[in-house]
Amino acid sequence: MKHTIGTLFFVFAFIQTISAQQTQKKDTINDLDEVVITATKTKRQLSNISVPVTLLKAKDIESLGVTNLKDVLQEVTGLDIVYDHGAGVQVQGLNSDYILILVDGNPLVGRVSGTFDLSRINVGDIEQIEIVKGPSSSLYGSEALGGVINIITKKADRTSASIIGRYATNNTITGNAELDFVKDKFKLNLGINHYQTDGYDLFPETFGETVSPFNNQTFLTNIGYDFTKKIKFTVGGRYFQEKQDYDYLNNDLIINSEGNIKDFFIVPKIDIEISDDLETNLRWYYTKYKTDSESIFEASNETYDASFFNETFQQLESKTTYKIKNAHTITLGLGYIRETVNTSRLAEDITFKANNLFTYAQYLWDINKKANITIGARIDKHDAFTTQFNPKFSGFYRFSDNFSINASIGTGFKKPTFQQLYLNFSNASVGYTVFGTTYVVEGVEKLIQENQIKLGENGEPVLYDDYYKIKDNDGKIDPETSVGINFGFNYSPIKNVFIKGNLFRNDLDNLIESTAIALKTNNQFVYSYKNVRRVYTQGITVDVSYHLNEKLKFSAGYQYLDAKDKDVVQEIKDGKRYGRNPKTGESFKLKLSDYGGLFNRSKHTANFKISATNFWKKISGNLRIIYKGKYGFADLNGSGILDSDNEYTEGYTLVNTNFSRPFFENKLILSIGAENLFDYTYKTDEYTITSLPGRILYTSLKLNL
Amino acid sequence: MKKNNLFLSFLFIALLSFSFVSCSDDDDNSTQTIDPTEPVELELKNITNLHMPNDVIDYVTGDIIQANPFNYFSFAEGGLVDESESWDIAFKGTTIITNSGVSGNGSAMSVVVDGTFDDIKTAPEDSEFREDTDTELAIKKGGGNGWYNYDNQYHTITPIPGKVIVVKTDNGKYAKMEILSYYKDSPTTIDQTAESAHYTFKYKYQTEDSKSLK
Repeated sequence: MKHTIGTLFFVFAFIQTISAQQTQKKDTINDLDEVVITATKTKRQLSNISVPVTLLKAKDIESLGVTNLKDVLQEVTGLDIVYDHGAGVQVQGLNSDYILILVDGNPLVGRVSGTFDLSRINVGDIEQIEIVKGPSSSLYGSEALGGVINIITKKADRTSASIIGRYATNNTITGNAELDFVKDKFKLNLGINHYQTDGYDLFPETFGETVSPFNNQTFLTNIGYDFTKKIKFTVGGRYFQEKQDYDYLNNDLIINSEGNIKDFFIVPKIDIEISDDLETNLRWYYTKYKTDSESIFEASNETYDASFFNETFQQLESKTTYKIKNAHTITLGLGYIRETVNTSRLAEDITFKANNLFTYAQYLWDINKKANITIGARIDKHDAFTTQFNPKFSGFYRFSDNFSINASIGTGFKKPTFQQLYLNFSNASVGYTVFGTTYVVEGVEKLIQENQIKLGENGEPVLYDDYYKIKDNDGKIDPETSVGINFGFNYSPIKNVFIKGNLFRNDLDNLIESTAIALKTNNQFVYSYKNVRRVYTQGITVDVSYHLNEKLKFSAGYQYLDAKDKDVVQEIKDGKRYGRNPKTGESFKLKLSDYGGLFNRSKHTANFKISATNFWKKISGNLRIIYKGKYGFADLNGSGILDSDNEYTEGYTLVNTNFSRPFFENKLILSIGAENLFDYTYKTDEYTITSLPGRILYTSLKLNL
Repeated sequence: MKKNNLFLSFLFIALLSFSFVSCSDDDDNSTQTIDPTEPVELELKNITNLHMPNDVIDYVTGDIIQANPFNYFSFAEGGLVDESESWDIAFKGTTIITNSGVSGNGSAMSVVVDGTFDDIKTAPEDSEFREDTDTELAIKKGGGNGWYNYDNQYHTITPIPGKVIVVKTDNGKYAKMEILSYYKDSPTTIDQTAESAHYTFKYKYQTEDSKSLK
């Protein structure tokens, strides 16, 4: 509370100072000419797009002074970063599992337990980030249920270079170099990034560190060559490597571990402009994600554990866009995806392969200057599960220059993972077994032959209902699916005030969970997977911005989120769910009002930002306040759901600030700033937010050549 | 300046958000039945911190390093008894066996019933009770199956709320019990210092030939 008051005081003092200095100037805004590509796979003006899109430009990102994508997205209204096997982004209450991360339209792979760890993406060499909320499987296929985040990398437009050095708390050093080179028809962009940190330790009293030291390097490139004005060739590429050493205790023995992560992609692409109305392109995208770790006992040098995971993904895609009289835009796409996975978590050394053919079509009609509609659909034909058809409809209408609305409805899907389809894993120490659904019949038969399945009184092996269900279904499991509805508006009630709002609802069905299918002779179970759960998320986001003048801008954002398991809601209504009083230990019937919904979702999140450009002696600065309301972190009372006060964290506020000043005609830019200025950390008996290291101070120097 | 517009827009958002949140629902359909032939309320008994540890297992090899015995409980005695005596259920770690079938020579049977402790006013039909078999214990093993949940992340055992174990005892009487905690002194927060396999439970035992468990 003290911090909040302090912050508010600071904010008001800040406004006073700046307001006093400003002479009222006519303002020229707004971002009407901003162009985005992700929502429709064609270039469209942001101002008349029919789905919820948030655009972050390079200068917006740079002004934050942060170095990682997760820190950038953390400050976007309606986005949240949730830590579960890495820093995953949550959009409209849907976890990282259901959000597709793209680089120039190409999907990044390498998820751990469903989470795409954003820490792998350092900010550098980025032109803009486009965030499309709501289901987008009609264009992007699997995993685009909750939305798509597309990182558009820089393309060279003139020869230039820049170098950034940054030093921050915890001995965190970042170096970033970018080179743009243009000569005639040849364009080259090259970005190199190095990051290293000593990490931090929130539990000095216990062995091991919360985050052990690690370092990573990123190389990004874009090479372009224009054969003619109408035939253009580009190659994009990325290489990333990360290394982390960490120690931990196992039965009082020290174990030294080393973990490596590598990812790589290359994407050659040719664009052909056949006529003014007809464009086509062909691209091949190849990406690889590779991790390995090795753990040894420090005392004996003997191996404790070694594991690896290799994933490849390649996609050949052609896209053709045809425009008729500038009013009708038809986009057609056709593609093929091939994926492989090879991991030490399989009994045998097998590389699993999957093939996916897809095609999509989209029709965009600019009815007049005020209205447009988009209709699209995509079909995915996959080896292992039923063909998926995902349509989407959206429309936009402008009532006046300062008021417009948009609405969309679409479906999304997420394919079963390799693990859910093909896993054949037995835990040596505990003795349970997990089979992917396609392997269930063969795997169980094998266990029966090996006398590993317990026999019942009738002499038959003990197989549960779900075994027969999977068998009857030929080992097929359905993708997880969703239907999403968005309704939004843009309103400018008075000059320089902009209000953007969006109502959303997502209904997810067929969510996959593990289930016991047989009993082993060692009294452990054989598990596989089935489609069971249904959840919904709904809420509203509102963004208000006020441009006082060219130098001073305010913005505020808020999201209300309600995310629940539908079956749990039904069971509570039916009186089948119980809670436990933590003091008396008594069980009681839960009421709907006791149910807090899905874990790791804050009902209320908000942000507030003031930015001042060149407000005093060429200094620019900003102050950002990010509020994250209380959220449930775990079930502590055995009820299996979030229903007890001690299962929530407190809500908290983080304050970030950044100031910069150019020297020598913008050749040199000096920045200083703080993340988590008031050194907020959260540590209770029940729970510690390990992703909050406390205050980070930094200074950076950018050299433009 | 068009102040009205600003006001209207805020009103609009306020209305939107209000209409959105106000559609939450709430219902409560508790039904109370009053038995005219009110039986006498049974005495509530508590057992606290009964330490009944599991075998010590080497989790790397799966070998049992030290085998621990079952601890045999009799509702009639209100405490632990010897295996040779008339016992009803027995504990070892999270496993609870019943004195019948593959587990014992007795005739006790058990069933796990959904409901609060106070809700279970009579014992279920005899046909609902189970003996221990080769494939399944009357009080099922495993997290989420029987009486407890196991948290993979925190490795904690918590009794599932709303699970009441009803036992037809070895001497043919009925008892109901609810396990309240698996850790010593029933801590509200189970951390690394919590000592497991310390059962705290409450029970009611019907000494008469009646199914009433009120």
